[in-house]
Amino acid sequence: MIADIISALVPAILAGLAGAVIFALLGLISGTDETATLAPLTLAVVLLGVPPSGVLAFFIAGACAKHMTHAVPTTLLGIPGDTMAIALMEEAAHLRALGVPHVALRKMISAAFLAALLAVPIAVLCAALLAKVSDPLREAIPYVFPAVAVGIAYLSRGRWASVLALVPLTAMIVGLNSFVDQQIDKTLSISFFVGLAVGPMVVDLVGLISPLTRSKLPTRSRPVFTIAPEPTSAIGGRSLARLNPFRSLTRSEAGLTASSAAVTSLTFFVSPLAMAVLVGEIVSARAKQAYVRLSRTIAVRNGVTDSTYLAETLIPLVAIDLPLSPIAAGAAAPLFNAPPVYTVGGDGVDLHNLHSLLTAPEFLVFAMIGVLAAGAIAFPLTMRYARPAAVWVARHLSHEAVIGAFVGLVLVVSLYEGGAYGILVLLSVGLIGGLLNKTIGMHAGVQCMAYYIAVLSVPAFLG
Amino acid sequence: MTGRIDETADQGVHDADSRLAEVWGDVVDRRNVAFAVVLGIIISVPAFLGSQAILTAVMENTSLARTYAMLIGLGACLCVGVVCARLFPPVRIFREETIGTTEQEAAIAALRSAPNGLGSVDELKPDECAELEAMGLYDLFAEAEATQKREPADNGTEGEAER
Repeated sequence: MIADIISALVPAILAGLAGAVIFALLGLISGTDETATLAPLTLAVVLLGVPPSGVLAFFIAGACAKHMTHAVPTTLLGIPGDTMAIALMEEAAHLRALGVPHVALRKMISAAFLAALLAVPIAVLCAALLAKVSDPLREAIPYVFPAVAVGIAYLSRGRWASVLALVPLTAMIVGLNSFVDQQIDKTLSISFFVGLAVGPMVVDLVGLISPLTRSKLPTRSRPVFTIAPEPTSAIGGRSLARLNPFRSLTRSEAGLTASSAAVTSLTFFVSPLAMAVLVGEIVSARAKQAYVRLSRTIAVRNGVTDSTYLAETLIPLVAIDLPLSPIAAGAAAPLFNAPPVYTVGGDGVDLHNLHSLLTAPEFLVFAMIGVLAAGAIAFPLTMRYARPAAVWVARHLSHEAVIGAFVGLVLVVSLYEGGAYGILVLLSVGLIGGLLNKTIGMHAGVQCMAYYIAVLSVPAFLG
Repeated sequence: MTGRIDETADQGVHDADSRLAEVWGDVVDRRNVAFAVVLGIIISVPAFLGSQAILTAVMENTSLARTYAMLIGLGACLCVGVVCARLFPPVRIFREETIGTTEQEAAIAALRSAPNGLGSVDELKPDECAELEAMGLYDLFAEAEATQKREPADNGTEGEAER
C-alpha cells in the first residue's frame, strides 16, 4: 500500500517540478500561447510513459507556473505574456505609468497562486458531484458535443460566424482523417491539435511568400519595448517577507481573489479570458479609489484566468471523461487523447485516459502537487529575478528564434504521429484553422471541438 | 570617411527596416525568419528521423524507441532556438524607462479623466493606505483629489469675474 502511494507520489513530484521549471521559463517569453506549448509538451510526457500521476502534475504545474511568470512581460515590458494576459493589459499599463509595475507583478502572481490553491479542490469536488449524473450524459455525448460546441463557438469573438464555420471545418477533419485512415490504416489526432494551435503562425508564414499578403504584412517601424525601472520604494524591496504570497495582497484583494476563484472554479465551459474580463468588470465597478480599483482588478483577473483554466481542465476530466470545454479540447487534449497511450474511444474502441486511471481523491492530490510545485519554483523565481529575466529575454531572444523552434517542434510531433501524412494534416488544418482564427475570430478551442464532433458525433449520426 | 561609414550603416538599418513584418504577434525581419524556418526544418527533422532509424534498429521496444526519437527531436528544436537566437538579434528597440514624480502625476491625471475617476483616499482601508504610502503615491493621489475639488470652485470664481 505504502509502496503504491510512493510509486505514484514520486513521479508526480518530479514531473510537477519539471513542468514548473519548463513553463516558468516559457511564461517569460511573450507570445508563447498556452495551447501551442502545453499541448505538445504534455503529449511528449504521456508518450514517454510517465505514470498518470506525473502527467497530471506536469500539466497542472505547467499551467500554474505559466500563469505566474506571464506577469513578467505583461507588467514590466507592457506586452501580453500569453493569450490569457490580454485581459490584464489596461490595468498593467496604468500601474506601470504610476511607477509600480513590480507591485502589479507581485499581486498578479500571488493572486494566481491563491486562486490555484482554491480552484483545484473546488473543481474536483464539483466534478465528483457531477460524476453522479454523468452516465446518462455520457450516453448522450454524441448529441451533447455539437450543442456544447455551438455554445462555445457563439461565445468566441466570431459569434455566429464561428458557429457556421464549425460545419465545413468538421467536414474537412472527417475527410482528412478518412483519407489518412485509408493510407496508413490509422486515424490521427495530435497533428490536428498541434496544427490548429499554431494556425495563426502558419497563416502568417505562408502569407510572407504570397505577393498579395506580403504587401499588406510589412511594418516599417521597429517595436519599442520599455522596461520599467528598478523598484525603489519600500514595498518594492526584495525582502524575504515579500516571498510570502499572501503578503503581497491586501485583505480586500485576497478576499475578492479567493471568492472570485471559488465561483469561477465551478465554470467549465466559458473561456477563461471572457470570465476574467467579466469578473474584472464587476470588481472594478465596486472599487471607488483609482489605485485600489487597478490593484484589485489586476489581482482578481489573473486569479480568475488561473481558476477557470484549471476548472476547465479538471471538471470534464474527472466528471465526464470527455473534453467538453475549450481548454480541455485544446491545451489539455493530451490528458484525454494521446494515442496509443490514452484514447477517448469511439468507433468500437474503449475509452482509456486519466479519467479511467485516477480516482477523484487522486486527482485532488496530484493536481495539488502540481500547484505546489509551481508555487515552489515560479513564485520565488519571479519575485527575485523578474526584472533581469525580462531584460535578458527582450535583449537576446528574438521572435525569429521562437518561430524557428516552434516550426521544428510541430514538424517533429506530426512526423512522430503520422509521418508525411502527419505533416499533410498539420499544414491543412493549420492554414485553414489559422485563417478562420484571424479572419472571423474562431479561436483554437472552438476548432478543437470540431475535431471531437468529427470523431465522436459524426460516426453516431451516420450510424 | 566617418560620414561614409555612417551612411553605409544608415543604409543597412534602412534595408533591415524595409524587411520588417508582423508574424504571430511580434515583428520580425522577413529574411531572418525565413532562415529560422529553414533551420527549424533542417535541424529538427533529420534529428528525429535519424534517431528513429537508429533507435528502432537497436531497441526491441519499437514504440519506446520512437518516443525517445521524438524526445531527441524536441531537444533539436531547443538547439534551433539557441542557434537562431545567436544568429538573429531581436529587431525590437529596448529602452530603460525612468519614472519620476512628473510622470506619476501625469498617470494620475490620466486616471482622473477615466470614466470612474479618481475616487478618494478617504475611502481607503488601513492596509491599502499603508501600501500607497509605502510606494510614495498617497500624497500624489491626495493632492490630485484636492486639485480636482478646487477646480470647479476656481472655474466658478473666474466665471463670476468675467460677468
